[in-house]
Amino acid sequence: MTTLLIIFHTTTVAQSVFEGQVLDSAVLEPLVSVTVSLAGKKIATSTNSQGYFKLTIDDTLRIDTLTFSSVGYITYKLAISDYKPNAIVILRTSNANLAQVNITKRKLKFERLNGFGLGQIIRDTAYVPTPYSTQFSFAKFFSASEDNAILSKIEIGRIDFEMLFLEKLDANNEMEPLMPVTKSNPKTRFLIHILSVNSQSRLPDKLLFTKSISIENDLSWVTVDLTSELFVLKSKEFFVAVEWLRIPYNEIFKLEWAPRVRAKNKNGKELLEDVSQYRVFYQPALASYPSTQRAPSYIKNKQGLWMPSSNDKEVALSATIKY
Amino acid sequence: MRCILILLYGLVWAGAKGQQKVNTFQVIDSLTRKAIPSVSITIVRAKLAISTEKDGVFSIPGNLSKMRDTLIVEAQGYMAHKVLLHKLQGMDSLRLVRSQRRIQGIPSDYRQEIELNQFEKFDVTHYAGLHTETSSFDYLQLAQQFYLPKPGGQLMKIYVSRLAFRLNNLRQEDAVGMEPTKFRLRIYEADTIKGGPGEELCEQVIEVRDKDSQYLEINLSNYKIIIPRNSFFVAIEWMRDFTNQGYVLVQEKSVRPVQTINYRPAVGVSPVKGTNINIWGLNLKKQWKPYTYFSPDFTDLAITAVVRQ
Repeated sequence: MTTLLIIFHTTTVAQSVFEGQVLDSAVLEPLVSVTVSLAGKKIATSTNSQGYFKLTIDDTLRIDTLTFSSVGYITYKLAISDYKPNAIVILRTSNANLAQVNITKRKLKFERLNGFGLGQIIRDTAYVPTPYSTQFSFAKFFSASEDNAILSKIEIGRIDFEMLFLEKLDANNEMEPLMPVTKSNPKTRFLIHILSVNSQSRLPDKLLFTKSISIENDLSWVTVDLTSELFVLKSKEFFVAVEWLRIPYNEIFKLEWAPRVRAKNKNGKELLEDVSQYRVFYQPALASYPSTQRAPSYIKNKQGLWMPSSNDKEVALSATIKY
Repeated sequence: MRCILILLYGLVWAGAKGQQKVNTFQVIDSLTRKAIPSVSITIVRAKLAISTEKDGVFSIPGNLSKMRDTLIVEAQGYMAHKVLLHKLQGMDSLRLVRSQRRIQGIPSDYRQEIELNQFEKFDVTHYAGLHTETSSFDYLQLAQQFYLPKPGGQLMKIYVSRLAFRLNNLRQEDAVGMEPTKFRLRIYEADTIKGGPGEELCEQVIEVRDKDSQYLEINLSNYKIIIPRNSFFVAIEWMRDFTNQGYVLVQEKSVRPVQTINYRPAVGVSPVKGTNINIWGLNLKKQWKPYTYFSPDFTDLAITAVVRQ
């Protein structure tokens, strides 16, 4: 019986850096303090608050095995030969039941709005989520069942910028193995805003709450825990916005090419040659996926006005609230 | 010379229409009268900077007598020459005087090698030397400061991370080999008063050429560079010539991105954050200032120095 589900990005890179994210199979939340070790070597690390791990090893043998273990979960072993970069490992709880203690008189009700699944943000051989990036801000409409809910967490699907520029083969619909033309930068800092809904225009309106997010790793599944903020959504309807910061920390460079004049011939005709042309983009790139019921979405233009988003995909942005 | 002429056309801001007189100069050694290659030419207020080719020749179109800007001519191993443009009227060459060489022997008790400013090369994600929409890169050199555990040592080797894409797919063949670069290394003692780069510790020209490597190892043992005190700088000097010329697309305030000339290489920024900024930039006015573009997130360039003590 297979006890674990593992989903990988398909790009392979020959290096001895092992990194990825460990999630709980039931709630798809990052698992903190999972021990990730290399069998036979005294090398281990543990996952951080986002479930992220990274092991850098100099002399890895292909027969080595990565082990993921945590109290209450079934240990999983992954052969190095099967490892692919930016793995997402999903651990399932073990059969041993831990004693449960109720500490509240009333059971809290959680509601996940505009939820998305792991399969919608992870690239595999059959499916490629579309990376989404805009210049300034993106806002998505949310509607809860009741007023006065507490915003518990926001989840964001994130994609490596390299995937923005890979192409597909026509014949087999498989990823073209082009060399990346962007330099990977996992680091990003951006803002999450909660905005009210304008009763007349239905556009994003007043700023209600802002949270600064800083990520240093290549996380695909970003969980923003807002439990301690105790932010109450007075209205059922609201917007969650992502604001891109155009700062050096978020820079990504992409290689393009452009012609320049190499020389002129005797007739005065210009002889051209291609030279490198770099272009800067700003992190993060969000995952987006096809959806039949796309939530109303808007982008902010240079003048600071909200305009309907032309993206026909659903951006992987969800909110969990509790009553 | 062709590219220099094109670049300096920007100088002719007055009466630029019609046929222009082209003033051509050659930079030569004051003693040997031979051309000095790869001379740095800077027009200060116009914010123009280029490097000559091997012939040391550059041109300025227009009427020099009307130009009020300052020209700075500088080459490694020579004293910098600063002159007002209108004073070049009637001249065809500029003579640079060699600076005095320092001759030092290497102490025989240097045995232990130490690596300074180490970083994991896979973790380099940011690069200096590119125009972006938030800042124009107007620097001639960027220098990384190193600190030795005790005074004295010989600089043996450096490692430099740079932005380069290695492409090999058939569908990318147009882009293969587009990123050659050459640059110069300058080694400085720390200025005890200003804190930035001071006196040069190597007057020989160290020119590095590369095709498309992301991580360069440069052996300096033959240059016999002695570090007298416990701090020194290794600087990347951009050669603003035809080989290194490429572009960046900068968004700026317009809707469409603007194509701007940019010179390779872009130098990596260390992923290891220190407590102080250890990067200094030489601006077009030839002033060394702390380079704060990546502050407070990054403090060092991705340059490792190997020193024998």
